[in-house]
Amino acid sequence: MAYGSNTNRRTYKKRDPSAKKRKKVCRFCEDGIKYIDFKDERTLRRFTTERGKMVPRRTSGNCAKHQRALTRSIKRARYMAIMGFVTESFR
Amino acid sequence: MRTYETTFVINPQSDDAVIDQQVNAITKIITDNGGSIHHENRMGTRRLAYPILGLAQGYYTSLIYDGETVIPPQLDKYFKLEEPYIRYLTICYEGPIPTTEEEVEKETEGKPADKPAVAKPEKKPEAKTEAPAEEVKTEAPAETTPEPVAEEAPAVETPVEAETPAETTPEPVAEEAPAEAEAPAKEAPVEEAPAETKPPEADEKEML
Repeated sequence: MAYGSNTNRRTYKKRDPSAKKRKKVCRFCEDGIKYIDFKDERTLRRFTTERGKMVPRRTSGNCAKHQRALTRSIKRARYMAIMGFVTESFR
Repeated sequence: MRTYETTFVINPQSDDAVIDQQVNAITKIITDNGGSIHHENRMGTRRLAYPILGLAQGYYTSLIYDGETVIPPQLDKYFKLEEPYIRYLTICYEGPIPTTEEEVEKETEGKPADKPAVAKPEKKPEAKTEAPAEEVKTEAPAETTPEPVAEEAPAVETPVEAETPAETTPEPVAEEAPAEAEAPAKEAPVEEAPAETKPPEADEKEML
């Protein structure tokens, strides 16, 4: 069992440097989107998990400006019942 | 003058005429207070993400308008007093004002394209039942008419396709993100589990 845990650690160490090399680009900057509409459920869904949680910047790769705008519109969408605060299956 | 966007949800159980009145009541408030409406987007009845006042569906409408700072508080007052408005939100609109023509075309082109396709096959049997001499004449236009429909249909699809690739491309990364997040979560317990189970065994051996 001890061997198994060691091998896991080795693979984990190998993954790290490759992940650091990747440069994530803000998709909104790429597409030239300036305004994120809170009624556009499709776009907002891409930046939330299955549970309905917002995806952090470190995983989505958004720039600070767009992440702020995205957060605002997700919260507005939640209030207007366009998106759920929590997904149904986890209620 | 500022640009505002007011979105509200109406109880969909009332008739269409009543809903129209409720929407018009708000446009009146805006125009009476010196505001000018740029864009009215009726999204129609949609399913609510969570039940509000026991309702599962709501009629969504959003208005983009220019107006003085007096309008939003007046709207808020009206929304609070009137029952059919389930939810409402007024924000300072910072985005580009959508041109009505573009959206109207998108909405209308999709619907009529489907309707004539269904309606035209019905015409063909009617023409056949009539005099046989007319068949040749009637079929010829009948054959020609579907062509413009076929031309229209791809025209509607192409803008959608043009938009989708830009939208679809980021998806895989979004899917990867949770997968990455889950993977370490799954691995972690596996590592921990044996570590936890071992000590009792070791203890037992020592005890023996």
